[in-house]
Amino acid sequence: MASAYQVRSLVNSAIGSHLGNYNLPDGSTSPALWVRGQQQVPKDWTISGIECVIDEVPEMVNQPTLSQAVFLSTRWPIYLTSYDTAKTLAEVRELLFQWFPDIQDPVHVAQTDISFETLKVFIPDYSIQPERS
Amino acid sequence: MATPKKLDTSALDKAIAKATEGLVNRLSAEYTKEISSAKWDWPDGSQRDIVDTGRLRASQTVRQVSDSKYEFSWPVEYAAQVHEGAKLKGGGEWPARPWTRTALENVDSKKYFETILRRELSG
Repeated sequence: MASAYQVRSLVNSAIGSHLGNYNLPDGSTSPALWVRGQQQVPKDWTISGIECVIDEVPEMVNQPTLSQAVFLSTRWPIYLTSYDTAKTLAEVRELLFQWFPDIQDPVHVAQTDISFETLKVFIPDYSIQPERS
Repeated sequence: MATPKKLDTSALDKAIAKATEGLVNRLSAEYTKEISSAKWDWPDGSQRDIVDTGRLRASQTVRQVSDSKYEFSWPVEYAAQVHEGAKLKGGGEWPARPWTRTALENVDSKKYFETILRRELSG
């Protein structure tokens, strides 16, 4: 299983250049890509453009098998929000789907007069075993 | 040699239809119960139901798509935002209140369906 930071790195490769910024109180900025777990995005940071949040702990489901084998299915929830009302998530969504063709359960909620456009997807996690000599 | 007998599946079809209908009614009640339950965390620390004007709950619609397929929907313009949560333009956010997911967790659909099916088939 990958770590949240490995997933972050992959997501950053896929859509990093399309993400917006966190604007910190001291005037500096940081890419709007956050791993949410013990630490939330600080309340005094503002966000411009598109933000991507990855949950630090993935969802895990034990799929029953006919034997006593344990088959854990892991998937990482990814949340995207466009705080720029003139910029949709369509392009980022397409890039994510290209990078992760096995993405599951996408929920794309359009912008309304009171809320920003959001997209939630799950990236399944596969274990890759190294070759043994 | 015995003549092959044609299998009459009408009793089974009827039982499946009855079990499906029973399960749909059960799920319908569970969705409404979840929307009405004061169990959803709110940013002020309280727990609330999902009833404000009552439009969302009243909008619950079930449509028979085929003999064995039914579709539930809540056709109000803010249903997705309530279910998935929303970041509000005026600041703050609505937490996700996924009443369909919790309802499906509460009901053992397979067992419920099987129970009705067995009852119908055993007469």
